[in-house]
Formats: sequence, structure tokens, C-alpha cells
Amino acid sequence: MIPLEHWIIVSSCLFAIGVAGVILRRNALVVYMSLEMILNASNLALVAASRYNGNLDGQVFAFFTIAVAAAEVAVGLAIIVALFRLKQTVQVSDVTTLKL
Amino acid sequence: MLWLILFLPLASFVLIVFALLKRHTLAAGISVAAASLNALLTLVAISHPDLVAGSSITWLALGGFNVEIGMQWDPLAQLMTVIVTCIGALIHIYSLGYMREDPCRARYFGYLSLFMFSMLGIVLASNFVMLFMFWELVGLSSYLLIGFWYEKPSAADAGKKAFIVNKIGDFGFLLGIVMTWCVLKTINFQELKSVVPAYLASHAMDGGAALSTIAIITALLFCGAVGKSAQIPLHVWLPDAMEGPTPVSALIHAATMVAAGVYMLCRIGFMLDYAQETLILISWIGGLTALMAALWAVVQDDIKRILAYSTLSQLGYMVMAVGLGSSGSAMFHLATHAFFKALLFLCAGSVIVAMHHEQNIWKMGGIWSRMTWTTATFFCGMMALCGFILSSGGLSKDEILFVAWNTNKTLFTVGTVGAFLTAFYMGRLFFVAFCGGPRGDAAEHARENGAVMTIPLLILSLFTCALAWRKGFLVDAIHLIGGMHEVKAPGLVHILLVVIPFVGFATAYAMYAGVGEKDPLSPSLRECLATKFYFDDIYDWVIRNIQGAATWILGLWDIWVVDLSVKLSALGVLVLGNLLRCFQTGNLQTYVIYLGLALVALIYWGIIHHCPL
Amino acid sequence: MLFLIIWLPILTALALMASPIRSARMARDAGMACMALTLGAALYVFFHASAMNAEYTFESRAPWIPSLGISYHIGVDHLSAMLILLTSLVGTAAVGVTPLPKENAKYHYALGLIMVGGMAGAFASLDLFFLYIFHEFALIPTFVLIGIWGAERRRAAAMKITLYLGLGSLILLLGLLGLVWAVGGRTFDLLEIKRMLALVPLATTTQVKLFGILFLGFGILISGFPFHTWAPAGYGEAPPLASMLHAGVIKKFGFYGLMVVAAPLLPDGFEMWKPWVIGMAFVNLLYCGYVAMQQSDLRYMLAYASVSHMGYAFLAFAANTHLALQGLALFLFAHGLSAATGFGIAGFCREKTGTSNISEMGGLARKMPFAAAVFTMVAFAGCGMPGFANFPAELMIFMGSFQRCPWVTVAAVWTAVISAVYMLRAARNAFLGPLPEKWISTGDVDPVRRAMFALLLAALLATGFWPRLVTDGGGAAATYLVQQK
Repeated sequence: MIPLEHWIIVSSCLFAIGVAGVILRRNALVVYMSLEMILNASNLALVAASRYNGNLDGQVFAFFTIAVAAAEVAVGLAIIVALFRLKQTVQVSDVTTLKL
Repeated sequence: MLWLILFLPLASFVLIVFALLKRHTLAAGISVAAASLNALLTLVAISHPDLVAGSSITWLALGGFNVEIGMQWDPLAQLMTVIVTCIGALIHIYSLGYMREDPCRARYFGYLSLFMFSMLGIVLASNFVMLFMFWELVGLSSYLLIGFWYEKPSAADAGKKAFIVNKIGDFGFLLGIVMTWCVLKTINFQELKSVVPAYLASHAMDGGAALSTIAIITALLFCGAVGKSAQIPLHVWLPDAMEGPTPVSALIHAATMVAAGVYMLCRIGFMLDYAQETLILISWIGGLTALMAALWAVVQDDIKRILAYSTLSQLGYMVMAVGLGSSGSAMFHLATHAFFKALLFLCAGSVIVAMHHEQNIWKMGGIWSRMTWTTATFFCGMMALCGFILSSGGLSKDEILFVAWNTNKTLFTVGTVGAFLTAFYMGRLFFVAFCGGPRGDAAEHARENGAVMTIPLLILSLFTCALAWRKGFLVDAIHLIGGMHEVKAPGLVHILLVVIPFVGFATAYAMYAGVGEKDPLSPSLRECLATKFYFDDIYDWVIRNIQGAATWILGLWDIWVVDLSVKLSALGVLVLGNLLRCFQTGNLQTYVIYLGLALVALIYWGIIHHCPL
Repeated sequence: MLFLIIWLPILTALALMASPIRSARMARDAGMACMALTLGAALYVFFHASAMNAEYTFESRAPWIPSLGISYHIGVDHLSAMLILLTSLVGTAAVGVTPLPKENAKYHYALGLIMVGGMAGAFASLDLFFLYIFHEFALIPTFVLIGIWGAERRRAAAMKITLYLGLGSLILLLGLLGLVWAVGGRTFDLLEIKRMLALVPLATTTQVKLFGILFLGFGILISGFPFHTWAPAGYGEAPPLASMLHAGVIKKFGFYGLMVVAAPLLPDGFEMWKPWVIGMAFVNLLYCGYVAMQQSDLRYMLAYASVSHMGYAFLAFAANTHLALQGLALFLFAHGLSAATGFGIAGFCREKTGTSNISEMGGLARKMPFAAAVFTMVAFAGCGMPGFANFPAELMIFMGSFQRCPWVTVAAVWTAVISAVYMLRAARNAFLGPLPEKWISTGDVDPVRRAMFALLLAALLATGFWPRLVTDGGGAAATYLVQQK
């Protein structure tokens, strides 16, 4: 069996890469992909823990996460499309109209 | 009866100001009627003392501080009332002629009535507060009347100057009154007469502290007299006050208002008896004023200014007399002075009107043949002012100088020199303005004015003769106050005092009889005396530079230092706002970082440290 | 009756704002009608209250927030009735005298009426909460009035005066809340707190702290040095409606509060802070008097003059003798009237000549004799001329304070001389002298305004000639005498 720590470490790495992507990347779609990566990282951790504990709690929760991710992507992509229609750009650094 | 005398002029003032400002003749008539009625009523009140009932109204009564509006009808008050009402009535009548062509004469007569009301209030007052109230009102009337022709800048300035200088004197006066009440617990003159000795007796063990308190109080009260009676150093307003119409100068600045200071000093005479230091101060200020004003009068060219400085000088004599301990002679001189000075001013007014408002004596000349009545009455008045034998002024001035001889020989010398100078400058005035030939068209065509202006002159001139002061009410009153022939002096002094006016007059004759267009007095002497010893200039300098600088600095301090904290707080808020602004970048990712940091902090303190949030 | 005085102006204001009136004249007439009724009611209340001496009359009470102990408790005694009369007099005159606004006239008069109602409520209020709230009613409209209808620098002035006085009110509120909390926090009612403190006074340290806060709060409202800098800008740029009400009435509220709330309830605190009060009096009198001499704008000069005269009131308050407090009460009345008249006439002159600068205004007496006469009267009232109520008031203050604070009394008497200097200088430069070309066509005061000025001056002269109108039943001021240990 692959020890649980390995799974958690991989999950954390994925999480870190995802966070780095959200904070550092300028393209909104890439930010979204990184966000998905964060969610997937948490999914991974959940399933691994569930397998390790021998019950199905983690996997059921993973299903919830997947559903939420899907809904969020739908809404988010709609926002990005609307934003593109308005500003002709998906670069996050160009959308700063709330700056004081 | 006294209430009627007091309030009749007030009724006239109110009526004129509210209803009659456009009806000039009616207003003039009412004012003159009120004044004449007052004079009659006064004479009636004097001769029938039973008609005068004492009564008073409580104006304020709080916690021991009682102010009554009440009358004191003792010989001093009676004397002053007669002077004020009789001379006042004559001057009102004279004004009918003098102000005949003025477009604002209704306002003039209204103010004149206000003045009569205020002056009578001073004279009849029974306590300090009432005296002070009317004292201030007299100052107000003076301001209004001096600045009557307000469109003339010099007149408006003169009115303002008069009031402010008076107010400075009133500063000391009011403090004196406040101290009187705080220390002696009463402000009523009658009560004070008994309270002061009782106070001194009960505090006799204090080692002089009580005496010095009385001295301080009297010195402060004297400040009021210095302001009102134009003594040095607060004399600067009186010459400028000549900007007002001549009857005003006659009534206010010769006969009555300026005499109020002397009157007040006589009223508080019982207090002054206990304050030797104050008396010395008073006599010296009086003496110095008498001398200096006489010196300044020698070089004046405006007929009214000469008379103004002579008033200053005579007031100095009166104040000096009070300081030397003889209120009686002071009041005597006040009484005679009121009549002859009013006469002199009215004559001057007559000449001025005849010369179409020319006031420079070097433009006059030859008046004696053109206006005989005026010249004759002027001559009588002048005799009295110079103190010639057989004139009223001679009697009263000699009285004062006898007192000086007996008490303070230095002041006697001062007074005698002053008497010489008086005769000299009056002689100069007479010879230049009235004698010789006319110096111009106006003088050529001067003619006697109507009876309305001439008859008061005649009536007043009657009182300049010494015979008028041998018997009669005025004399009795003065005796009761304590004046007249009570002092003895060696025969030599008598002779000296008779001779001096002649000497002065003769010197004037020698220098000025038949003189041309220019003053033959040496120019350097003229320069020196014309500076008026720099009083005006020093005051001007102090006000402009010291007070001006102080207010400028304080003004800037207020804007830049006191207000600074307010401005700084506004600035601080702005700075803080700008600082906080930096956090709002509008950048999505920055906000994500804030979110993350907040989450970490929450986890750290909430879960790991178990802090209840 | 009190209900009428307080709420009639406020309700009329609301009605006015809601109404479709466009004409300035109609709005003014509506305002004046309302004020006439209020004035009548105020006179009735005053004469009734002065007969009742020191007790409270016209009382009424309704619970507001019972759990906090706040109730709508109003009532007047002699002092508050006099101040309410002052409010109505000044309010009537202010509504009549202020220049007709060019647009939004109904709001102008409505705001003024709210101020009047607010101040009347503040003086009548016997509950600390409502004392504060009614004062705010009076304060907020000044912001709008100055900001919209003021002179050149109105925006800055409006901000400054409102924020500064708002800060003062906030400190005041803290003090009041502190007082309520110190007594147990059950009730805001003034009379109940008085009773409680009579039985068990607060500890000296608490008293000192609370009095300090209250003194600071009220002091800012009264423009005591160094918290006076809101006054010149505020009064200088305000339309006459605001400046007359503010200088005439709202400033007096501070002293009312000190006399009625702070000093009697916190005597030990008062004792400790007395040197500061005396110092404030001294500086206000002389410093602000001299700064007033420096001003070239008529309204700024009057503003500094009014700040300077508050020194007399501080002196009387500190001296704390029967006579001085009596003088203080009369002084509040007299100064309110004379300051209001002064700002009214200055505002009128500004309306007619377009300028407030004294040297530019010269020679106006020939064209505006009535205005010149009114200003001369204001000038003389300001320096304590007998005949105006200011004289007996100042006299009583001097007599009452000399023994406790001799040197400040000397300064106070000297201030009368200073006032004479700048007032008469202003009168000379603005009204006397030759008439310049540019003012040839200016007109004099119209009849309505004449009546208003006459109203104020008549009240001033009447109380000046017969001060017993206001001081009789004068036990009232003495009830606020703080008992010395």
C-alpha cells in the first residue's frame, strides 16, 4: 500500500500549485484552472483519507465537492464571458475599476 | 417736581426722534420749550422748597446691592441745576438762530434734549450707579453732537475720539465704584457720608490699610473726572470736539458736561478729606493742566480752539482747587466760568456765522465796528475770563489763588503764570479778531445777527459782572457749599492778582494791536507750543504701532497657531485616509491574498491558541 | 403651552418643506406667522414663570425608552423661560430680517424654524437625553443654511462650524452619559439625578473627571478660548438667519448647560476646575477683544466681539455669587439680543452693498440712516451703555465678581473700553464720513425689517431701562448657586 503521507503530500503540492496559480497568474481562465486544481487537491486528500480509514465518508464528501466545483465553474465562466464582452480582455490585472 | 425737570427733556428727545425728524421747526420749538420750561421749574423749585418731595424708585435690588433712581436736592445739586437749566435754555434759544439753515436741525434739537436729560441726571443723582449711568449717557450725547455733521471726516473722528477717551476715564471710574460697593457696601452718597468714617474707625488698627484703600478708591474715581473734565493726560478730546456746532461747544464743552467732573469731585469731597495722597495728585494734575493748556492757547489760530484750550485751562484751575481742599471755590469758579465761557462761545458763534463759517482769527478783524453788541458782550466775557477786578471771574479765580497761596506756593505760582497767559492770549484774540481793520471780504461784510442770537448774549453778560454775585440764590448756594471769601491772604497778593490781568492784556496790546496778516510771535516759540507737547502724537504712535502691532500679532496667532490644531486635525484625517487608500488596489489577486492572510490568522488564533473571538 | 412653543415651529417647518410654495415672500410670511404665535406663547410662559419664582411650571412628562430611563420631560423655571423668550424674539427677528433667498426659499425658512423649535426644546428639556437631541436639532440646520445660502467661503465655513460643534456635542454627550452612568444608569431625568446627588454626592475624582468633560463640551459650544476658532468663519459666512440664531441663542445654551447641569450636580468638580474657567474668562475677554480690533470684515469683527463678551459670562460663572449669577442670567438675555441685532444689520448691509468689508462700506449713514442708527445702538450696547440691558447685566457681574476675582474683573472693565474702540471704529468707517459714489443708489431698511429691528431693540431698551422685568423673581438664578464647602 502507498502510505497515506504520500497522498497527503501530493495533495498539498497540488494545493500549493493551485494557490500559486490563483495569486500569480494573470489570465482569468488560468486562475480558474488553478482554482479547479485546489478543489481537486482537496478531493484527493479526502479520497485518500477515506481509503485509509476504511469508510466511505471521504468519498461521499468528494462527490459534493465535485458538484460544487461544477456549479461554480458554470457561474464563473459566465462571468468571464460577460467580462470579456465588456472589457475585451480576460487579464485580471486589467480589471481594476474598484481601485481608489 | 424734580422728576418733571429730569424727564421733560427725555420726553422731548423721544418725541423728536420718533415722530418729528422731518418737522424741523416743530422739533426745534418743542426742544426749546422743554428747556425753557425746565429753567422756570428749577427756579420755582429753588424758591419753593416745599414743593420738592423726595422719592425714589428701586431700580435693582439684589442680595445687598440696591440701586435707586432717586434725587439729591442739596445746595450743590441746586446750584448745578440752575446753571445747567438756565444756560441750557439760553443756548437752546440761541441755537434757533445759529442752526436756522441747517437741514438736519430736528436731529440736532433731539440730541440737545437727550443731553439735557443726561446732564440733569448726573446733577440730581443720589448714588454712584445712577451718576455713572447718566455720566455714560452724557458721553453718548457728546458723541452724537460732536459728530453731528457726520459727513465731515474730522467731525466723525472727533466724536469717536471724545467717546473713547472718556471711556478710558470711565474705566477707572467704574472700578472705583465697584470697589466702593465691595468695600463699603453702599453706593448712596448720603449713606457713604457716615459709612466712610465708620469704616475707617473700625479698621483703625489695620496700620493704614483702610486709609490706602480709600486713597485707591478716590484715585480711581478721579480717573472719571480726568476723562470727563479733560485733564492731562486725557485732555486730547476737547480741542477736537470743536468740530461740533458752536452752541454745542458752548453748552457741553464749556459750561456743563466738562464741569461734571468737577461736580463729581465735589460730591465725593467727604471721601477726599481722608485721602491726602489723592488730593495731592488732583491738585498737581489740575495745576499742570491749567498751565499747559494756557501755553498751548497762545499759538492757536482758530477762535474756537483758543476758547477750547482756555476751557481746559480753567477746568485745571477748578480741579486744582478741589485738590487744594476747597470744593467751595472750585464750585464758585465753575459757576462763574459756566456763564462767561458760554457767553464767549456764543459770541464766537455769532462772529463765525456772520463770517460765513470762517473760524481763523487771522481772516477776521474790524468786527468791533460792525458787530457792536457781540463785541461788547465778548469784552465782558473776556474780562471775566482774565480775572479782571469787578468781574465775576476775577472773584472766583482770585478765591482759588488765595487758597493756593495758603496751601501750596508752587501751585500758586503755576496758577498766577496761568492767569498772566490767560490775559495774554485772550488779549491776542481780541486785538486780532475784533480790533483793527478787516482782513478780507467776509470780515468786511460781517453784520450783527438777529435778536434770537444776540439777546442770550446780553443776558449772559449780565452775569459776568461781579455785582451779580453779591446777593441772590447762587451766592447763597455757594456759601453753603463752603466757598467765597473764606480765605485770607496778605494784601500784597491781592494787589498782585489785580495787576496781573492788566499786565497780560497790556503785553497783548503791545504785540498784537494793529498787527497785519501774520503772527508776530517768534516762529520757534510757535513751533514749540504748537506741538501741544506731543500728547496727541504719542497717543497716535502708541495706538498705531504698539496696539496695532499687538492686534496684528494676535490676529495672526489666532489664525495660524490656535486654529492650527483644527487645521491639523483636518490634515490628519486626510493623511490617514490617503494611507488607508493604498490598501484598495482594485486588484482581484490582492484581495485574495488578504483573504488568505485573514484565514491563516483566524486559524492560528482561533484554533491553535483557542482565543474566543 | 410649552408644547406649542417647541413643536409649532418644527411642524410648520415640515409643512413648509412639504408644501409647493415657491415664492420667498410667502415662505417668509408663513414663517413669521408661526413665529408670531410662538412669541406670544413665549411671552405668556415667561410672565407666568417669573411669577412662580424658582419652581418648575408647565411640566409634562411622557416615558420614551423606559428601559434606559429616558422620558420626554419638559418644564420651565424662570431662567429657562427667559431663554425661551430670547429664542422666540431672536427667531422672529431672524426670520424677518434675513435676505430673501433666490431659490429654495421654503427650505431656508423651514430650517430656521427647526432651529428655533430645537433651542426652545433644549431650554425646556428636563431630561438629559432630550437636552442633547434638541440641541442637535438646532445644530444640523446650520450646516445646510451656511453651506447653501452663505457668503463666499461658505463651504469651508459650514464644514468647519458643523464638525467642530459636532465634536463639542459629542464630548458633551460622553459627559452626559458618564454622569448618567455614574449615578447608576437607571434614569436620564435631570430632576431625579439632582435628588439622588443631593442625598449621595459622587466621589470627588469622578466629579472632577465628569465636570472636565462637560466643561470641555460646553466650552466648545460657547467658544471659549482656545476652542473659539469656529466662530469667526462660521458667523462671518453665515446668512443672517443662521448667525442671528446662533450668536443670539445657541451660544447661550452652553452657559445654560453649565449653570443647570454641570455646576449644581458636580460642585467639587466645579471647585477644581474654577481656575481654568477664570483663565478662559481672562483670555477670552482681552485676547479676543484685541483680535476683534484687527478685523476688516464687519461680520468677522462682530463674531470676535461676541466671543470676547462670553468672557463676562465665564467670569460671572466662576465667581459664583448671587449677584454675579443674576448678572449672568440678564447678560445672556441682553447679549443675545444685541448680538442678534448686530448680525442682522451687518447682514442687511451686506445684502444692500454686496460687501462686508468695513473700509469699502464707508459713508452709508446718509443713505441708510435707520441702519446706521441701529448699528450705532448695537455698538453702544456692546460697550455697556446704560439704557441697554447690557449695562445692568455687566454692572451686576462686576459687582458680584470683584471680590472673588479682582484682576479678571479689572480686565472685564477694560474690555468695555476695547469694545468701544472697535465698535466705534467700525461705525465711523462703515457709516460715517463722506458718501462715496458707488453707494449713491442704496436704499434704507424696508418696513418689515424695521419692525423686526425695532422689536429686538425695544426688548433690549425695555430691559435696560427696567431690568426688574427680568430679574424679579430673581431667586431663580440663585438656585444655581453652587454651594461652597
